[in-house]
Order: sequence, then C-alpha cells, then structure tokens
Amino acid sequence: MGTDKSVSEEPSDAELVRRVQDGDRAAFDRLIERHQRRAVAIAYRLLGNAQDALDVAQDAFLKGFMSIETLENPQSYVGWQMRIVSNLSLNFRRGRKGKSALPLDELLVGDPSAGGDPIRNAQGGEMEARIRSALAQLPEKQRLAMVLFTIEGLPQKQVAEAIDCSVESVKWHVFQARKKLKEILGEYLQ
Amino acid sequence: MSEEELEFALSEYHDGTLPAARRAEIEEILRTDAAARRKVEQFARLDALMRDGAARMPEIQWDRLAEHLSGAIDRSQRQRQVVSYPIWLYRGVGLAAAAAILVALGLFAEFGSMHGGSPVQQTMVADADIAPPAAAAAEADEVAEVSVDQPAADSAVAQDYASANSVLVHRPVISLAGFTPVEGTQVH
Repeated sequence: MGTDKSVSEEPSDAELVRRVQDGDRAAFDRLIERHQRRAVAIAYRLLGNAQDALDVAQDAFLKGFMSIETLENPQSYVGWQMRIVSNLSLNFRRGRKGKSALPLDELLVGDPSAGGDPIRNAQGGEMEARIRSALAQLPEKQRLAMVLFTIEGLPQKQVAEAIDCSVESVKWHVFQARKKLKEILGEYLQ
Repeated sequence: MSEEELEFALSEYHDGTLPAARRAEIEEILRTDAAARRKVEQFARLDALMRDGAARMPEIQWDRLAEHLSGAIDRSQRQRQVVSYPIWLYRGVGLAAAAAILVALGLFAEFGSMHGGSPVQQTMVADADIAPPAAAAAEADEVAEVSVDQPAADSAVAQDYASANSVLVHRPVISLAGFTPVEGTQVH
C-alpha cells in the first residue's frame, strides 16, 4: 500500500509543468530527468552524431524552459518539447554550429577518443549507415513520424503535437514512410 | 477499396490504430489474402529493422547530462536577470499607478463636494469606514500587493493596474470624511 502511495505521489508531467509556470525552477529539473533520453535519442536519430544531439538537447530544454509559460495545455508538454527538439535538429542539420558547450568526454561512457569517431565506434555497422541514409531520403514529416512513432515509440497524439499535424496525418506519414523504406531497404526485408 | 487504401488500412492494423469498426473487415481480408498478410509481415520486419538499427545509441551518463542541462538553464537565467528589469520595478510602477489613481479620485471627489457632490462618493460611501485620509495610501499599498506574486513579470504591471482599479470600483478604500454624497450616479 505504501509503495502504491509513493508511486501515485510522483507528479505527472502536467503537474510539473504547472509548478514550473508557478516559478518552481526545480520542477523543470525533474522534467529534464524524465525526458532527456528521448530528447537526445530523437536528436541523435535525426543528426547521427552524439555531440550534435547533446547540443540540440541542451538548446531544446533551454528553449523549453524559457517559453514554458506559453504552453497553454500542460498535458501536451512531451509533444511540445519534442517538437522543439525536432525543429532544432532539422535546423541544426541545415546550419552546423561551431563549438559545443558540452563536454562529450565527460558525458559518454567509455573512452570516446579511442580511434576515430567515437560514435561510429560505439555504433559501427553498415546496417546502421544504411538505415540512417534511408531515413535521410524521406521528406521531413515522414522522417519525423517514423523516428518519433516507430523508433522512439511516442503515442501518435504526441507525435501529432510534435510535428504539428493531426493524428490521421501521422498515420499517413508513417504509412508513406514505410512504403519508401520498403523500397530502399528491400534487401533487408526478405 | 483501392490497393493503396487497403495497404494504408494494413499499416494502421499493424500499429493497432485501425478504428474498431474496420478491424473485423481487415481481419477477414487477412484470413483469405496471402499478399495482405505478407504486407503486414513486411511492416513488422521493417519496424524491427528500424528499431534495431537505431538502438545503438552511445552510452551517455544521464545523471551528468541532467546536471549540465540544469546548469545551462541556471546560467541562462542569471544572464537574463542581469539584463531584465527587476521585479520591484514592475511592482513600483503598479503602486505608483494605483497611488496616482487614488489621488486623482480624491481630487475629483473633493472638487465634487465643493460643487454639490461627486459621482465617486455615491458608490464609495456605501461601505466606507470613514477612515482618516492618511489610511488611503496604506490601504492602497495593501491592494497593490495583491498582484505581487503574479508569476510572469511581464504581466505584473497589467495585473497591478487591474487589481488596483477593481479595488477602487468595487471595494472603496478612500476616506470620505468630510465629503457629501450625491444621489443617482454610478462609477464604473
């Protein structure tokens, strides 16, 4: 019973958003802890580079904090925050930044400087390169729908909020993305 | 149903997002149509491929990252505070505005009493406690503080104005000692 109570006492995202809007700075740290993995993962899928993904995640949470007062529906925080991540990732891709404020060597587990690009070492594999390349060939919304819904497993409603369209459009984008990916990656699907 | 419509429905079926009303129809097609079954299987293989290929994220020390992100926000906030106006300035503007309105109303009321009464007195006299004039400023301070805890600094001034005005109209706080009420007028 006590465990159930402690679980139920964990504030929801919406509650934390309301607290931040009321001036509780620490509540935003809780939101960061909850959603930083997903934010970094989405940025990473879209950018293909850990350093860039971490930079985007930082910028996205900063922007999120600065503009959280404008979030009228606290329930939609995740979709809203991931939209910031997605937009920053797409813009980042178009105009690469110079230097990072985040210490990659402190944040990555293991020795990232060991032999060439640390991320490629960590991931490796031709398959991954093919998948990344295939995703890059999709139109923006299809790529985002695929990354957010199929790979990251966000509910379609949150995906819709993140890419600013209806749930029906999300389904359509996912479907169209699948059709194209089947053509591109056909050899892996036999 | 066209080929593409069927394929779209199969994609929704695979995701579990097909409306219930259509599920039976698609399940019936899947029972009899091997090509349709292959398409659903391909969707499943494709999704697995995308997830497996995307699963190799670099390992990140999430605790440290959270600290970095939190620290970046703190630094940004400090920089913002340096360049933005302090909250007491917003409050000061609100208080000054409230005081100015009180003074203007007082003058208006006094002018009215010299010329047979003013509209302001009519509404104020109803629950006025006939406090000494000096109490007006203190009461006004109390009123202005209603808006002090507003979360957004940008809206604080507007809130101050709003609360001060509403108090003047709905909760008279100005001393009316020595003033003569006039009938038949309202203030809004």
